[in-house]
Amino acid sequence: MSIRVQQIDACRWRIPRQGDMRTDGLVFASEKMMHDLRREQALEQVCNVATLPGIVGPSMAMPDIHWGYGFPIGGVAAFDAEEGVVSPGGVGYDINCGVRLLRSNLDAGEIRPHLKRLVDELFHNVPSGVGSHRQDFKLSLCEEENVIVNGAAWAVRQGFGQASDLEFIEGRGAISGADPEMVSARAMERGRAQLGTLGSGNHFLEIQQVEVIYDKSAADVLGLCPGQVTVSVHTGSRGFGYQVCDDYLKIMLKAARKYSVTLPDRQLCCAPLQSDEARSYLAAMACAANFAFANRQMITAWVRETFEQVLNKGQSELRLGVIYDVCHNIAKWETHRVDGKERRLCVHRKGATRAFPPGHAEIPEAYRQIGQPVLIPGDMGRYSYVLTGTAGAYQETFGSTCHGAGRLMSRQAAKKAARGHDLIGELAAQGVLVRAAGRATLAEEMPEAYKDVADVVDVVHRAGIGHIVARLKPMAVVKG
Amino acid sequence: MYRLIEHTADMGIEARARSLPDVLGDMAKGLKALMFGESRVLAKLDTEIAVQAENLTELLVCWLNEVAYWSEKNNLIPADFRIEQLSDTTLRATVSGEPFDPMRHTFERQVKSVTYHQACLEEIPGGWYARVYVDL
Repeated sequence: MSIRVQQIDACRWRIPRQGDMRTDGLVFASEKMMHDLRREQALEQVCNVATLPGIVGPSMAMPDIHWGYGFPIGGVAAFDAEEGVVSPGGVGYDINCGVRLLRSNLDAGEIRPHLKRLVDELFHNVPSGVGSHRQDFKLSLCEEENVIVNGAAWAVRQGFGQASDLEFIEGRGAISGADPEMVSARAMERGRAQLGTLGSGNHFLEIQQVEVIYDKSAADVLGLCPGQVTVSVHTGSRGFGYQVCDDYLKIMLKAARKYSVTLPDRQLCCAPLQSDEARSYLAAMACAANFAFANRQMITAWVRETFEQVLNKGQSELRLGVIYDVCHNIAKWETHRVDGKERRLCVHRKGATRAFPPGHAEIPEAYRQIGQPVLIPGDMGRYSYVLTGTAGAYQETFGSTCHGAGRLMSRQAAKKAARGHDLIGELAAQGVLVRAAGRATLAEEMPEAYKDVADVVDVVHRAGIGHIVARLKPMAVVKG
Repeated sequence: MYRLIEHTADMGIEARARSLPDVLGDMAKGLKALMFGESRVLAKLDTEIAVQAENLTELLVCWLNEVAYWSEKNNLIPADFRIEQLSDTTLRATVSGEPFDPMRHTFERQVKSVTYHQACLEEIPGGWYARVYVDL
C-alpha cells in the first residue's frame, strides 16, 4: 500500500484521508524518523485505525511509533461515546504496561560501592524472567478478586508500601468499573501465579542517577536534583492481561461481524461502546489495569526493602518515594474539548502516555502547577527522561505523548548484531551493571536495538506535546 | 517447513506444507523454536489439546495460543504435534513433550500471545501457507 504523507512542519506529518479512512492520520516524527518509518508497516496501521467507526480527531502516532499489531505502537485514537468503538487491539495484550519512578535521598557516589550487591539483591528479591515468583507470597482466588477491583490500594492494605504512594499513581492506582465477573477463570489462574513479578522481554528494573536537569523549577517540584539516585520499574499486568486481551479478541471478532464493522486487520476487532461486548471488555480491562498497578506497588515495596537491607538505612533516610506511575497501554473515558465542545471520549493509548497539562484536576495537587509527570524510558545503555504534560498535548493529542524509545532493529537483527559481543561486559565498562534472567532477551534488548530516546523526546518537546524536565542515566539494570 | 520472520517489535512465524494438518503442525514447531530455540526435546508426555473458532484462520491463532498456554502452565516444552481431528472450526491434537530442564533446554522468549495481525491460512498451489505474528 502506497501511503500519501504531507509534511506539516518539522515534527508533524499528515496522512490525508485515503481509501476507507474516516479521518486523517497525524504522525509526530522528525524527517529521519519518517524516512525510517516508510520502510515498515506502521503508517499503514495509522491508516487502518482511521477506518474505525466513531473516531474523533485524527488517528495519531507519537514519535516512538513503530510497527505493532492492529494499532501501531505509539498509537493514540479517541472514539465518540455514542458512535465509537472500543478495540482490545488498541490497548494491547500487556494491559496497563507502565512505568513507575521512585526518587531517593541518596547520591550516586554514595551507592556506587554497594551497586553490585544492590543489583544482585534486587535480582534475587524481585522475581524476573519466566516462571519466577516469590516463595513467601501466595494469592488466593478471593484475594485476587480484591486485587483486580482495588489495584494499588489492595497492595498498600497488605503492607506493600504506604497510603501516600497512591496519590502519585495515574488514577490513584485503580480504574473504576472493574468487574471480576467479566474475567475468565484462565485469566485469574494465570494472574494468580504472576502477581509481584517483573516478567521478561522489555520489562526492567533500573537504578539511575539524575544526569541533567533541563527545568530546575519543575525538577524542584518533583524532588529531583543532579546526582540523585532514582529507580524505575517497567512492567504490566503479566499473564492476567494477556489472557483478558486474548479472551476479548475472540468476543470482538464475533462482535465486529454482528455489528457489521469492516476490519482492515482482524487485530482491530472492536464493538460499539454502547454494546454489552464493549462494556464487558472495559470492565475486564479495568481488572487487568488494576492488577498491573498492584504489581508495580508490590515491586516498589521489595525495592525499598532491598535498599534498606543492602545500605543498612531506614526509609526515613532513604526516602524512596513515588514520583509518579503512568500507564502505557490503556483505553480510558476522558472529557476533551473538540471543536469548542466538551465531549466524553474513549481514548486508546497503545504505547503512549497520558500527558495532562498544568492545572488539570487529575494531577496530584503537589504537581498541579507543572503538569503531569511523564516517564520515558530509553534503552539500558543510554538514558531515560522525565517530562511533564502540556496544554499543547491536551489540545492536540487528547493529552497524550510518547512512551519510550521505540524499537529500531527487529529482534533477529539485534541478536545477530550482538553476536560476538560481551554485552554485560561492555555495559559494565560504561558504568552500567546488568543482571538478566535470559541471555536471548539481553541480546534482543541491546541498546542499539532501540532508537535514541533523546531524538524521540526532542520531537515531543519541539512539537509542544511534552516538556523535558530531566535526564536519568542508568547505573544498574535488572532485565527479565 | 516453518520460518521465523522479522517484525520490528515482535516476531512472526510462517510455514508452507502439503496438507492443512501438516501446516498447522509446522506452525506449532515454529512456535516451539521461537520460545525454546533448537532445544532437543523428548516426547515423554502426551496431552490432548482441543480448540474451536469461527474459521480456519482464527483456528490457527487459537491453536498456537493453546500450545503456548499449555507450555507456560505446565512448564513443559513441546516435542511433537499430531493433528487428530480437524474441521474449518475445530481442531483436536496430541502434543507430546517433556518438563523444561534448564540444564538441557534453552529458553529464548516469553510469548505474550499469538496475534490476529495479518494472520493468514490459505491454500496455495501444491499445499497450504500459514503466517502469524507473535507479541513478545
